[in-house]
Amino acid sequence: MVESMDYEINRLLESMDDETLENTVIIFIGDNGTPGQANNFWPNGHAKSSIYEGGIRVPLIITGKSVERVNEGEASLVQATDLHATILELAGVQLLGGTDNSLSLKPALSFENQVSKKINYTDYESSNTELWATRNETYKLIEDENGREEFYNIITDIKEETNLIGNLTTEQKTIKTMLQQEAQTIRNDWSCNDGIKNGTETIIDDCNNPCGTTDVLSYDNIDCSYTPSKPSVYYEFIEQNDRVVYSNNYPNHNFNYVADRIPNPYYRVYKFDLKPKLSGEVTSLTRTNGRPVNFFGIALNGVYMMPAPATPFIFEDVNTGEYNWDWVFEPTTNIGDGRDFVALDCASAHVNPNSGYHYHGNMYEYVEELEQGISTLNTPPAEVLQVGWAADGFPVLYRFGPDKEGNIKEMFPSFQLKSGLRPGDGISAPCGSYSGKYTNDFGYVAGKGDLDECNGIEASITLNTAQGEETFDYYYVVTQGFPQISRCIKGNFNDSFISSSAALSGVDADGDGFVVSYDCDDSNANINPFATDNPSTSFDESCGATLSTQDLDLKDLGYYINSNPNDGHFFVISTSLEEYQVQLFSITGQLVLEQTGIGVLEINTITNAGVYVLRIIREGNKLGTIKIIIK
Amino acid sequence: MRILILTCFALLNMTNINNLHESISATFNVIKRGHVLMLEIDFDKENFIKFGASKSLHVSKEDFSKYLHKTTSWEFDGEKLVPQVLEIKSNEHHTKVICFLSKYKESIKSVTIKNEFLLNVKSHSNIVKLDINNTFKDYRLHKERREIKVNYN
Repeated sequence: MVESMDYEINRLLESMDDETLENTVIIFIGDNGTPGQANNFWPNGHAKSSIYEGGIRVPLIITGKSVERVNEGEASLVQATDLHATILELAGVQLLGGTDNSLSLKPALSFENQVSKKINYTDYESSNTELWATRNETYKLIEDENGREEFYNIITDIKEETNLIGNLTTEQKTIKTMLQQEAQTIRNDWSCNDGIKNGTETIIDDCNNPCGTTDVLSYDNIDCSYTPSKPSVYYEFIEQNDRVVYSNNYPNHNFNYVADRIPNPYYRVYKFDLKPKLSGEVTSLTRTNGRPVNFFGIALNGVYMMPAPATPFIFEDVNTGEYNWDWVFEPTTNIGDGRDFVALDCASAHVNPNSGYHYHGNMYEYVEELEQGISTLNTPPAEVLQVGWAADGFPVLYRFGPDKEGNIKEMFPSFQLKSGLRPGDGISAPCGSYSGKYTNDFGYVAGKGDLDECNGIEASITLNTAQGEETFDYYYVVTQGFPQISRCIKGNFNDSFISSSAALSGVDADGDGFVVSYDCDDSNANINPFATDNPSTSFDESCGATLSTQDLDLKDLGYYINSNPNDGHFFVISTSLEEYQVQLFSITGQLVLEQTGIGVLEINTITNAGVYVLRIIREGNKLGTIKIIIK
Repeated sequence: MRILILTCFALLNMTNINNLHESISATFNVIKRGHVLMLEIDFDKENFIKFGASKSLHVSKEDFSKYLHKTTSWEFDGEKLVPQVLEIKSNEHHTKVICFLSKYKESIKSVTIKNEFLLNVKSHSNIVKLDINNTFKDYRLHKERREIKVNYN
């Protein structure tokens, strides 16, 4: 029979052409156990047509497209009903764990330990009597409608020959009670422990919720009723092994604002790897406690991407007012206006008082400017759309990208709502079901979608960039579902994307988007790096068309004078960890004082009034000078 | 994609805009930078000029220092620190002020902060962030909570 089956399956597979076979998932499953008369392994009455392992334990093999595990076994508890949800997810339907009693096994096709179901339930009717079996990893409880019970350790007793029911240990009694209760739940209702959003559950395993509060989510944006009034500048150039972007973080599309937070230019320079490589590490955009610390990247219109929100969008201790950073509002589910929402406009963006306009999620308004209809497209476009660069230098695509075989498709993230209830008490941490209100409500399920934990994929992509045709072996995707914009980085994170890194403090007097240090004529808006040289003039309208990063002001480097002018007693304050040297020169260039140290250097030996020049040196390099007036 | 299921039969059977944030706020970030303890303050420029005892239509070092010292106090391990204003950066609507608090002392055990900055502005909150002792804590202060005491023991 085995030989015959092999022969017939081979005949079926041979009948498929290569292209069809390559695009097919093959699922092989036995429907029930082997009859007792056909083998002598199982004890009498424990084979086919029974509820014992010999009757219900069957082989399951899944192979073909989307199956990344080869020649591996999966020890988790699965059952035939799970194929329903598995096939739906393989066909592109996004589920919360699964549907009805069917748990999607799709994540397990790529990674181990991804099956969240810990209990299997089976029922059967024999001789007009209903029987049911409920098992966990080790024990199996069999019950029938007449109250008969059997209890087996099916790891040590696969043939179910030693019924333990009359001699249970305390631990076994506890497990038996749990299995009994779970069986009753499954027979009459939906399980609250199956990792599936089923029945009337609004989220996965939304049961027994004692929390008095109900999370309110918002998916309505605050509109985009204002048009930009200033130039939006994204200027890219190469400096050694870095791609450098000068930007004013000002949108090139309609926007909205809250209170008086109107977008204003926020000038920064970002540097990142020209030839990025995966680092083997994952760099989070937040601290371990959830506080945002890094930008994710920069969009091609110069607006930076920083998905994680900051204060006040954090759960606040009811009694102390302390923010609990484990529970940060998820911007993509708190879009609208009001105290409990993040207030994002139609580009999923808003304004930070001191760090400008930035994207928190799917930047609809921006991508529609780039390619009309792309945000609602149902089928993959002929060409992918790059929307930015991540802080490690890998490109960021919008929704669609090539899979490992090079086929352009919509890329789905691998996150879903966690199941069950949050551990919080409602005072210092939120209680209730994982609803999506907080970022921490979502969990990464490897293999659930196409993308990894950073919403990226190791696949080759060739793009036409400002530098010509470039190929990368990894890319990130802005997806429709959570997290939309990635919350981590897989390559080498560049410090220019640290949120507290210094912005350029110069003035843009001519309003052309370039501050004076990047504009060779800041009194003429027609002269800047974007300008085209006019051959009939002797001017260099394009500022040489190339730029380099500039020396920063001492303050931008974290060096301050506490009082200037002063009476000869003042402090030099460094916010850097490194040792530095101070030299004070008279107006005639004579060195009058030299001092070396860390942190705060006190100067109190200058008695002559006058104008001095203070120079700061670190590691032998002059960082800058400042004029000191002593009265 | 096609999905092929092979079953082995065992012989039988089978809104609209604006004025949305109720929480107008100023932030006070107490942070160890290098070897020094700094205080970085962000706030709404217009509110400060209207309600913060400013003598002019811009945020001056003198006015701001006076107002900061009048409306806030900063105590670390029992020692009262007076912020020294080092830099004021304003854009169209907001202002950022960098202050020096002290040389950094390791293992701060207690912090007491009183903050009534712009509490005369309706619905105003002050968010105090403590980025010291290799931990991060932050609090929202408002009319009903004007002082916090934090123990790091």
